[in-house]
Amino acid sequence: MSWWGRYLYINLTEKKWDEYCIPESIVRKYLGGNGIGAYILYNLCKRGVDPLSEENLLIINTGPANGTLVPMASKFCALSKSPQTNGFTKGFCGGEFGQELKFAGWDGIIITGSCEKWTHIHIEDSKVYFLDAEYLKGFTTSLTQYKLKERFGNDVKTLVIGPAGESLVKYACLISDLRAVGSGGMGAVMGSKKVKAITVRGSQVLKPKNRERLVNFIKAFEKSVYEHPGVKNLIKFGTAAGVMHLQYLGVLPSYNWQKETFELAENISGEALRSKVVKDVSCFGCIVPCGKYSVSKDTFTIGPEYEGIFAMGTIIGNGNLDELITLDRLTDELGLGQIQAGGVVAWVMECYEKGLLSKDHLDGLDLSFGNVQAVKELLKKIAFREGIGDILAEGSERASQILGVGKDFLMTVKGMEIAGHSPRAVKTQAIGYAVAHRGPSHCDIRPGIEENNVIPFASPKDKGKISKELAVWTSVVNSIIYCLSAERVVGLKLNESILDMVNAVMDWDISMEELHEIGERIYTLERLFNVREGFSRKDDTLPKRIKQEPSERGCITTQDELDEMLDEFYEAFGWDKEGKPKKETLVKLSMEEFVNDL
Amino acid sequence: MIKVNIDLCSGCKRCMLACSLHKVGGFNPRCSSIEIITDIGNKPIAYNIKFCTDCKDLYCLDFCMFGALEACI
Repeated sequence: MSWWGRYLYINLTEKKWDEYCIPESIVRKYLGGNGIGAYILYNLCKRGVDPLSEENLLIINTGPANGTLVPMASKFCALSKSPQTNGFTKGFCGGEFGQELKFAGWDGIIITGSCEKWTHIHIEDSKVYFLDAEYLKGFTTSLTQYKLKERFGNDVKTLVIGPAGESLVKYACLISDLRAVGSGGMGAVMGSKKVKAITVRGSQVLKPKNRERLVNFIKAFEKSVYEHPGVKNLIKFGTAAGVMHLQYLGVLPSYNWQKETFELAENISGEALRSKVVKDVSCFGCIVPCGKYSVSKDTFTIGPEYEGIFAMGTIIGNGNLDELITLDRLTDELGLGQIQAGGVVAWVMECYEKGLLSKDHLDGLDLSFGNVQAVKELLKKIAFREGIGDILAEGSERASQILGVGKDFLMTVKGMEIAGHSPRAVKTQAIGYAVAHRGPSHCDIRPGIEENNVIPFASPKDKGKISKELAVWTSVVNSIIYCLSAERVVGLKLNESILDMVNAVMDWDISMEELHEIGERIYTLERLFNVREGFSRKDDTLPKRIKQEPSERGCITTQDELDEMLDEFYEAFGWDKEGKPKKETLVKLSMEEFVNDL
Repeated sequence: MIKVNIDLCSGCKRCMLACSLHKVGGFNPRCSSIEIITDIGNKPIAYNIKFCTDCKDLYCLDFCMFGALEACI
């Protein structure tokens, strides 16, 4: 089968590991990746657990399509309780780590407990080793991985944290090769467990249940992907293709969201990035090489992706591509979640320019918009929690409370900085940021359906219902796990192509209705996790600036408009006015086991 | 014998998965006759043909979307 039903359960406190089995009945209800990860997290992470305590879990999970030849099924995911939002979190990452985990005979890893000293977990098929990692302390993510490969062989796959994760920066990320599980602060969760690195090598053979059916699907799918006109753009420019498109639409956020156009956009666009690209690279098993292996005067990186250009470019007023590549690499080397790091820096810059914070507050740094040299220093201070960095490592919302400034232009929801798609103009994104269980991410309810003019832009009409369909779609996609970059090719909602993929990979014959129900169930379970933690409608909101200050093209999402859309969204999901799933909804979705938790 | 043009290769390693599927009926790149060696950024830097049996099916070529593989007699 293309999945094992076996998870590696590691208790770090006791230095023990065991097998944790997931039966097919659960796979049929939650599919894999996001879905089964949420199911495990809900069941094993008790209510009210401190995210940085040993009781919290870090789950690394794969999807049934990973490790097979299914194109664009290259990502793995990580799930936990977030130290930044204190709620559910998940993140996805390309590369090779997830596939290798499956080749070692595991669908995923569940980590609980914590170590006393820095530890490296090495997994070799069914053997698990807890090794000393004190010698890796303070190392950047690349250096850590070079050292591990030097010692254990070039074919081990790595997942590590940088100095930011070690310092428990609330938005520290996980890094595998040059790719990241960006949001949610799972680098800090891994750091709190004193795990610096996980390596894996596997020799198991993943045998498809129905080889002929799978290969037939793959060949047909390859053809449909390559025939799609959008793929050429994705291969040429990567996700950076979106920069000029959003600039023309007037929805490219800049200067901490004071504006939604950026006068230097052309300098840091996908087209400009081409001059720095030395190779178009794929993730493992992917036929769309959207990774832009690019070089600046002093470093190289994969990307920057659109969100990197937003976070280390437009919102901090940086229009220098060379510096952007350097900053993109620097955040990854330090192990900082890029979107949140950019959001924090942009907020500090606005405080500085408005005279609310001076050089005296900022360890002598001149944090005017666009001053990238000062940004580099600040990022290092955050990662090592030095000086002002110690406060900023808590995120902009907490920093605003501590410093007593800048509350009116915090760009956060649930304590986390928002991603780079406009919730003023893109109404599905407004709902997406407000309700996303992992904090304001652009990857649950996607903005593409409006940004690509599939449905009318900037109008709230029916956006609640449409957003529900987007949430159901991404829940399925994130569970079989194929890449959301392929959305324009495979479709922006559940369709026959995705159904065929699920049925071919699993050798099932489920209907579209059943697949839809799986998506609804997964999204509702994530909601239940947050409801159990005390989240409700009051947390499903947007930054004040989005609700009160229109963009240049006159777009704004007022509280009244948001309320109306939220009512429609909750109703479509069968949740009550407070956003709590109704009992009958849980029964309808065969989730009776959670009814008593309401 | 298979030859790989590293300039055309994207580092996706689909040839390795295809070879593995052909040889052992399942997926694990370590079962493949072809080894594409990539750097930390997934950029292909070298390749190695280990024990290619010169099969006639050429599954590896079939699954390479970049024209990076060539069968030489």
